Amino acid sequence: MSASAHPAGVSIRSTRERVAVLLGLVGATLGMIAGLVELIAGPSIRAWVGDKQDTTRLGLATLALAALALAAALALTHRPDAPAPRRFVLAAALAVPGLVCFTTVGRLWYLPGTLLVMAALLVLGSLRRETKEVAAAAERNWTAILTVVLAGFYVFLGATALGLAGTVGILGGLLAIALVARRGTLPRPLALTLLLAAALPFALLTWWSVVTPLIAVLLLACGLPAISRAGDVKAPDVARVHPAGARP
Amino acid sequence: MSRRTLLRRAGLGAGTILVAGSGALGYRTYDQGVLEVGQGPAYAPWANWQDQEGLRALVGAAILAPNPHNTQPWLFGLAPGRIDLFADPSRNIGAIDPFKREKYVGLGAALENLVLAAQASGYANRVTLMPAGLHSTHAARVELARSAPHASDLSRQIARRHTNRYPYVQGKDIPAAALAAMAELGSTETANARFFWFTGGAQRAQIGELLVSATEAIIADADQSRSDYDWFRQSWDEIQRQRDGITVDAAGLSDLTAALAKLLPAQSRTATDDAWLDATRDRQTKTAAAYGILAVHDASDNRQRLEGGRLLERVHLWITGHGLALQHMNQLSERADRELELAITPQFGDALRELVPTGWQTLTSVRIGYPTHTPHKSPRRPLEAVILA
Repeated sequence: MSASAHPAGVSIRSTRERVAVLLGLVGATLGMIAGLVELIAGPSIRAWVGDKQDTTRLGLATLALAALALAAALALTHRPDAPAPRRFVLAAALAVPGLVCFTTVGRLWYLPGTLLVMAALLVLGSLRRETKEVAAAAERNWTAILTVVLAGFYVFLGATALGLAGTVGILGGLLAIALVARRGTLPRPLALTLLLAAALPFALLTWWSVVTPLIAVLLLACGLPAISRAGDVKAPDVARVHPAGARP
Repeated sequence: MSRRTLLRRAGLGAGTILVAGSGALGYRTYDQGVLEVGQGPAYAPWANWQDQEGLRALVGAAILAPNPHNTQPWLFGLAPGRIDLFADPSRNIGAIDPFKREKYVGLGAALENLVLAAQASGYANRVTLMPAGLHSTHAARVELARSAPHASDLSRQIARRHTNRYPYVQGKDIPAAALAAMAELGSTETANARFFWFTGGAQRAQIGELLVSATEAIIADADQSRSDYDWFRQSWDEIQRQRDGITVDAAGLSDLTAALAKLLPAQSRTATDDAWLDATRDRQTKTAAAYGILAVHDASDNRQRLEGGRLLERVHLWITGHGLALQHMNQLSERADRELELAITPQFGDALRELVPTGWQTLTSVRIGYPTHTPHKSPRRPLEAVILA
């Protein structure tokens, strides 16, 4: 058992989850500090920042990813009784920044990255008994997951492109993520228009790059079915699925 | 499992594979700087050269000069009221430039930028070429004294000048007035150097064929081919770290071709040679509006090479300021020098002798025309790497 809702509404959290939250908070905070250090002193400590030449953008990217991890850790802190699919998403939000920064940042990321990956693994470990629930939710929402992943690629590539094209890429990615988050709540023609607005401008501005037109096509192919149906990542509260105190 | 479920899962699986593939391609796009053309520290000197303090700003202008294979073969010594320009003995293009002819032409171009920037920044200057002797690495001494600033039309083009390897507008000739104006760019400081222009169709065809043949000869010469390939930078990280050499972005390829070239695995020497030959034959010589041959009285004299380099840079800056394009095409003289080095039949040496009047020797050649594309920048090393402690 990972967490349970106390009859009085007070969450009782397992030691494993407490440790996961602590590691996540510390790892993300250290990650933010690492990003700031890259921004401020990157050129003087190249050996510690993966020998990267452009430490300004590296610092900004590190800050953004560490902020994502911090948000996930805080969400775990405030919603220990979140349904299993949501906790799986939060574990992914801890693991992805942790792993991505390992590939780019260098020694400065060793400690925060390790802490974030450990936190993610502990959260995932707490989901062992809810694997089926997570798998079923993942299958139901797979096109939405793929859309978010593709939107993440847009944000990432937009951050590397700079200028107008870069801004359009970042905004397009964020808009696609927002559309997935709000799926089922917007009128279909509006959602479709917004999805086109998210996918096409960056691809058109950088058509020669090969990758952005490919992502745009996939974004539309995955995004259309994803935004056309209500999602269930925001699954009903455990309390409603399993009456109070009856959760296995 | 129902058929419908099976089909749905197969579709989701295929979609997942495609998304994963696009992720891998996206990472390669990032890793190779496909969306970052002309960005990053390797290109910063083009934007911030005027931000430097004092004499460093003049060096900042000098390092933006054209130079062979972007080897940036220069070093600078700074002292109060004086800048010394040296040839960097460690930066050569081997069998491509066996007698260092191109190297000193490049140094001359850097010297011209330095002098133009000095005038614009309010320094009167006195230049002494090869002050320590004709075979020394000490290429020039520039003595500077404060005076009224004078930014010339040429100095304003220093950071806008880039070699343009794209095809040029076909059928649009260079006006005679432009050629006459470029003839006026010479001065007493470049008295031993002169440009000879070839604008007629037959002349252009002849030089174009010679350039293609010289390219084929270089490719067929394993040592020259290797020396050329050694300066070809294909990895974005390598470009940002080493900040020199020839890049895909500066090769005059279409945006799509350049992106594919960067996304695909690094090209072999043979593939690079073939691409160069194709570009020379199918795009560059086919669209040249005119060829220019830069000549001096004695092409083995480093002082005259420096003068030639100064004139070459003036012409390039003038062309930039007047909306024209220029590409340095050194294949003929590279092959002529190689023939001399190997003591073989001087096929290209003889051809060059026939192209210029008696009493002149070719230093280098260029093609000019009206641009179809804006050229991309080449990387540059930072001042810290070229200023002697």
